[in-house]
Parts: sequence; C-alpha cells; structure tokens
Amino acid sequence: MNRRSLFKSLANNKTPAEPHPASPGPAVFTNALLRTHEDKQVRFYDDLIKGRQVVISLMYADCEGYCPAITARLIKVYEALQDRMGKDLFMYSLTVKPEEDDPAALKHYAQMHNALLPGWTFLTGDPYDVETIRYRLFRKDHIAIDTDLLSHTTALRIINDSTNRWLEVNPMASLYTVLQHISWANPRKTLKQRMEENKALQEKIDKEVKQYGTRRKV
Amino acid sequence: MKRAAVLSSLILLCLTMTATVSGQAQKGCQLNIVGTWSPAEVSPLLYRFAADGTVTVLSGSGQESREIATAAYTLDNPRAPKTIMFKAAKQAGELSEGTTAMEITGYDDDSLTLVKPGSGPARWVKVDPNRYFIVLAGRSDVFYDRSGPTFPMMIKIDGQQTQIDAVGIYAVGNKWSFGTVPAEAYKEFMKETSKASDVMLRLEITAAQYERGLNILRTWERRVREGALLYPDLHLDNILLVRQVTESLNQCGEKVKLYKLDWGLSDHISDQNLYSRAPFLYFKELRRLNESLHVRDEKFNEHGRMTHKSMGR
Repeated sequence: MNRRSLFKSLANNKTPAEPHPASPGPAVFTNALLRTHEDKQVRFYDDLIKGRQVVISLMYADCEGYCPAITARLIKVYEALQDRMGKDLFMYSLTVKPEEDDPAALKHYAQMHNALLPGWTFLTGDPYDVETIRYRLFRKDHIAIDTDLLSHTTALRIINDSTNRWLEVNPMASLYTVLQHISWANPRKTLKQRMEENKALQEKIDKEVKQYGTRRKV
Repeated sequence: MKRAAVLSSLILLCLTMTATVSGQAQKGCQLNIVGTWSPAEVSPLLYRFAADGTVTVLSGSGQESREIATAAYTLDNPRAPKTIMFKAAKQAGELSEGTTAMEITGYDDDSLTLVKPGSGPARWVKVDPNRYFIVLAGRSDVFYDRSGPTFPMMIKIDGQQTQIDAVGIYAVGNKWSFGTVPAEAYKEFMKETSKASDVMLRLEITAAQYERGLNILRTWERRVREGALLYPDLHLDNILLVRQVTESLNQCGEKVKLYKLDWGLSDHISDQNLYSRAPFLYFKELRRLNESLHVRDEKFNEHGRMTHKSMGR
C-alpha cells in the first residue's frame, strides 16, 4: 500500500464491522447457544458480540437485592444512549440462574422493570454455558467472590469487540461514570470525523474569542 | 390481660415459625422421588416410583419382591413438592382406590415425610441395595511446589461391581495434570496410609449425595474435554471442584462438617499457603472435623463383602 492509498483509506474508513484481529473470538466468549427473552435462539459470539460494542450485566428474575436498583440504573443508561441502542450499542442481561429463569420469566422481569426496550436483550441458556460465560467475562480469580451469584450482579462488563477493548464498571457508580466507561469503548473515529470535530471546536473557540475577547469555557 | 394476650400470641407465632422451618426442606435441596421407598412405620410394603409417573407397590424385598399393584402419581411441583397425588385402580397399602392426596411436610436426601388425611405424619425411607462412598484423597510433597495429587473420588458398590470416578489433579511422572484421574493413579489412594504426607477422608453417603457429586465430576470432565475450564490457573479449578463436591454433600442438611475455604479472614489455609496446596490442606481439615464419620479400610472392605452377600451373588 502506498502513502496516498493509506491516507485515503484512513480518511474514508468506516467503523469496522469485523472483529479486531486481536479479538479473542469464540475461544474466550464461547459460541454457546442461548435463548432471548423472546425465546429466540442466538449464538453468544456470532450473533451478540462479533464486531459490536456491548454492555453486559448479570441478573436473575427473583433477585430482590441489588438487581431492581441496578436495572433501574441501566434504564437511565439506556435513555442516555437511546440513539445508539440497537444500532452500534447493545445491552445484554444474562441470568445467573438459568435453571429457574426461562425466556418467559426473563420477559416478565423486563416488563415489570420497564426494560422491554429495543437493543436490550435478556438471555438464558444451559447452566453449563451460562457458568462458562460468567467466569469468562466476570471472573475475579477469587473463589468466594466468583461463587457468590449476588456479587456478580454488581458489575457491568463493557466490551467493544471491533477494538478488543474491555472495561468494567459498577452500575451503581454515578450515571456520568457509567457513561464515561461506555464511551471509553466507543468505536474509533475516522480521520475525517476527527478533523470535522476539530474544525467545529475551533470555530466555536474563534466565535467565543471574537465575542468576549477570551474563551468562556475550557 | 392485654400483656398476657400479647405474650401468648408471640409464643404462638414463634412456635408456628419453628414448625414451618423444621417442616420445610433446605433451600437448594430437591426431592428425587424416583426409586424405592418404604413407609416402614406404617406398612411393610415397598413403593417403587418410576420417572414416568407410575408407582409400583411391592411386597417382600430384594429379588423375592412381588408386584401387588400399580398406580399413577403426580407431584404438584417437582422441584419443591408440597403434595403428592396417587390414582389407583384398587386399594394397595397406603393407596386407596381412586385418588389419594398426601401432604409432603419435609424431605431430605433419603427420607420423606407424608401426611395422609386423617392420619399422622409418616416417615418414608429410600431403600437402596447399593452402597455409596466419597473419598477425598491427597498427597503433598510430590511436585516442585510441595503440592501433590488431590482429588475427590465417588464410589458406587452395587454388589456385582464397583464403579469409581475421580477428577482432579493427579501425577503423570513428576508432573501434574488436571482431569479424569486414571485408574492406576487413584488405586494407590484406595487404602489409608499412616504417612503425614497423605490424607484420606472416606464417607459413606446416600444415593442422592453420590448423584450430585458425580454430576459435578462429569461437568468438570466435560470442561476439560471442551477446553471450557473456569480458571486459567488449574489449581483454582481444582479448588472450585473440591469445594463444589464437598458442599454438595450438605445440600439437604448438614451431614458433614465443612471448612470455609473462601479467602476470608478466618480462612488460614488459603491465607498461609499456595493455591496448589490448598485442596490437600482442606482435605486434612475436613478429616480432622469429621474423624468420627471416616470409614476405615476394614469397615470399607466389610461393606464391600456385605453388599456381595446381601445381593446373593
């Protein structure tokens, strides 16, 4: 590739739809067959993770501790990022009690918490697969924490498979903190997008300086 | 008067709560009705429950048992049943002609308390000609880090043959491996030794405890086969495995005294030792805590012979 075509591709490139070459793929995520709250079968990596930015939480339908408060917080997160939901950002809530939570129970939970929203999928599956996914995504390498199902509900895993970026945040942190963590996994911007953003910012600065003689906000 | 009324209602409330708690099964304890049950106190008959919803009433025992009647049964909630309903064409033992509903007031791994309308509670006991054991075996100072083979074994003696399943860390030469323990590796742990570097706790368990333990071993075998282990550090996988197996023994009530291997403040084992040595020291602690339940070699061998005799083979 010559220099001209390199810069041209940088300027024109779109958000990569394919996973990052460094993405661990199904070897880490597994490609387990799960069921959604709408009773549809999905492959965990191929259908839910591959090339996407996702926010994954753990829950169970009869959880009366943190889960309702966390779901309420996730609704706030959803509302703040509504424009992106189901397009380039997806939310998944995986039950940690798959023996008890069938698709109907998950749908009932989602309905009860007003979380039946596009781009947000509740998931269940074979206990073996769910446990594997739980450990792969939320493991702390601490036996007591890892075996405590309730403690798992207090973590949000943010993954952008297209950049292989993984983050974790406590959903009960401030909304700003949660949104900030999600933004850190946002898709990389193209050179063109960054140049446009810089141009717009410079115009704003120039306008403020012209009007007030100095910048109003830094 | 008022104070007396408040006091008596408090006492009544406490009594009700106690009765409710003692009557319920442990959380996570599931009734497995399939098998042969005997309401020894009220009837000499045996009741063989099949998974297809039929129950066969038998007289006599062992190979000489005779089928008296068959009926259909349904549980209101298979996971945590409160009522069992029988539909019989003719009266046989505890079953009346037509429909008989019995209340299930409690159950554990090998017993069930049923209340028939108009009668008091009756304890039904599971009848099983087989013997089941769990062996927690370990050795230290085998590998470079002073750890050694450590694994749980599930043993079923059915009179004709002995089935042994073992999964955990075992030695291949002077290296260690995690997975299904080959027969040649577990055979040397079948007998007790007096060496301080060896530990063995052998407990006789119920069929339900055996099935739970075996399911855990089968799941770990599958994880090894499919490359789906839960930790990248195999010693952590082994700790989780031995914890799951030992904790499953108490799923329907405290049968074994357990040590809390949880990295907590009171967990001196994981606080002062390498991960790799934790299962061995955990087994040592369990042996200390359950010395009175340990089945020694002589008794274990006797069990094997008794089973052979009782089965008439």
